[in-house]
Amino acid sequence: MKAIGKIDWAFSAGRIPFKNNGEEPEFISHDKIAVLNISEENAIVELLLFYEDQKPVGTYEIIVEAKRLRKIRFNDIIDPEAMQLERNYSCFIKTSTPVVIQFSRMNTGAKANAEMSTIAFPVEPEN
Amino acid sequence: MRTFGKKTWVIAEGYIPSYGTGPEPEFTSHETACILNTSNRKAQVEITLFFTDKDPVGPYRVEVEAQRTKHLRFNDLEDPEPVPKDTDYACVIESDIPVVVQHTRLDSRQAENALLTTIAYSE
Amino acid sequence: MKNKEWKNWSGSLSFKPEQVITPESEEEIVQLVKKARRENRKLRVVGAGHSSSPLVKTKDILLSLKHFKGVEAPDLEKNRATVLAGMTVKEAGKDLYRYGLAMHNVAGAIGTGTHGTGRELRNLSSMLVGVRMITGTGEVIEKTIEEDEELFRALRVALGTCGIFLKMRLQLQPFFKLQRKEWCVPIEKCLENLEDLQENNRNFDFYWYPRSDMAKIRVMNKEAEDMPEISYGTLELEIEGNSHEVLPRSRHLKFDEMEYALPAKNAPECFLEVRREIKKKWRKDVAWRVLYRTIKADDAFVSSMYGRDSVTISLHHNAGLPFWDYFRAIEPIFRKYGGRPHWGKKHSLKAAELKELFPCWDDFQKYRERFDPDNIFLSPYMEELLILKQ
Repeated sequence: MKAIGKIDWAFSAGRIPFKNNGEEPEFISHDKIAVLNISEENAIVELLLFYEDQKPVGTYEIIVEAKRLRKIRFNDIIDPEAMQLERNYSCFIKTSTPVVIQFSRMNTGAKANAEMSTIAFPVEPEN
Repeated sequence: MRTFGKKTWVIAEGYIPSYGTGPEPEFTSHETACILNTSNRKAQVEITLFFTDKDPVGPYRVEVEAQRTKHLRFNDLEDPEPVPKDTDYACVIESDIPVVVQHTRLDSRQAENALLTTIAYSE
Repeated sequence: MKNKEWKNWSGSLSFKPEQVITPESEEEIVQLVKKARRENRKLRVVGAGHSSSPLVKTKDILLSLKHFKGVEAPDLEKNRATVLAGMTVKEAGKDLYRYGLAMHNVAGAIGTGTHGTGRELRNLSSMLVGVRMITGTGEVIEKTIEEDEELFRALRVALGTCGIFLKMRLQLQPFFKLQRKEWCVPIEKCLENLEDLQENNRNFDFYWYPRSDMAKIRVMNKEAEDMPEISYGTLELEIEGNSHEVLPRSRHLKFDEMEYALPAKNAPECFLEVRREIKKKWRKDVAWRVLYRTIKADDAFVSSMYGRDSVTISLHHNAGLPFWDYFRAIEPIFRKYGGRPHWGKKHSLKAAELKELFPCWDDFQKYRERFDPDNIFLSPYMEELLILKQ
């Protein structure tokens, strides 16, 4: 199958909620990205985090194997440093081979769950 | 870091509810445009609001420093005038250098929250 | 409060700048330059810290561009891309590869005229076809070679004295694969076949080992059919892969280095004399190999390959061991054969001697003075290199 996707992505409305309701780990409030690698080679995925009041942090490196999906929760990443919850952030993602990335947040801080999702912004190489 | 994104963004689906349930500020009903500037230059951003039956309002001026993000709550905009609540609106966001804009809304009018988000339309 | 010490990669260069600044924005750099001008302070930009000559040494302001990284605007028709100036060559190679592009060679940085090896290949500086920079007066300028060809003869090897580069537009190639082979051979056989090996391979160089008097021949080509047959030695390495992975890179063991670029026609004789001298006096203490590489002529005003196809001969010594006696003893041999030192490596020359080696010295100075009239980029060492004492 021809590789589908792009090698540079971004989303800007990151903020991991703090409050949870319900059983862990399923209903822990979280931000995550779903990374789909349709290509024939493993994708080296690097995340760079941007903040409102501090220099960027990263890169965080994750491998997504060929022809696989991998979901990465921002709550869980720790190298180089763990992220603070309830802190505004944005994220630039660069990959070694084209992938498709969708960003979502689950917020279980109120009585019922709230979930949202969007395709991340795909960067055209010329810009 | 390298520059990327677009200079022009549009959010067509804007609506700030006038009330919410749940503790402030986290669960106040709100609408946010999150603007990411990955470049090494400050971004000067201008926002113009459009309505169904009145003239556009703006520009609202915002700066995003190099290598920073800004999560801008529409509830907080004041100059030239506050964004009316319970009113449909849209906005055009223009930056002098390319940025990435994502739009989110948290609607807590009911005990159960509703969240929505999308990467804004760009060209 | 004591200033923190800065050390280069090999450890042989260390100094205490008053300030080390890592700006995030162009505006910040413009303010720094204007301030330096007002206060008569000096400003040097540091990269990965590989240079072992004191190019970056300053008691004043040391600037790191590590927040200026990334590749922009790749153009797969013209094979060009913009690389932000804070990238290391390794980082640039990896990022360019993602867009399907490659540098023709990999070995060092642009401002010092660094290079790989290959008779038809120029140094890395020759890739520069566009620049966005901040001059010594705090002005931001952006130019391409199509707009001003002569300017790039100055900017391609400028030693950080014409401006602070923010972005560089590079002429590249579609990414390519390389075959690489290495053989261990007697030095005489290597020298016998030198002309042939240089002529018929894309990349060729050899190492000479002082302790064994043996040579290691290294050859790279794009196609397997182009690889030579070598019957007079033993094959030690055979790999193939993406160019940025196959082309040799710096190793883990640290060393100090002296390198001179000779006119290609003088190089074999020069090498023989260097070899005689090392065997006679220096191999008692020195075991590290001597490197012989070929580079095509270019026209950057103060490039060590200016105006002539060249061969570089490099001496290495383990970092931490006393290297100056060794380097200083061999340096006159290089000079005798018309050699020019590598700006980023050890040498003992000053402006008076350097001026004689570069026919376009004054042309370079003209540009330097224009962009930095108050000499804020001239640290004491840079002054010694570039300004004649009256």
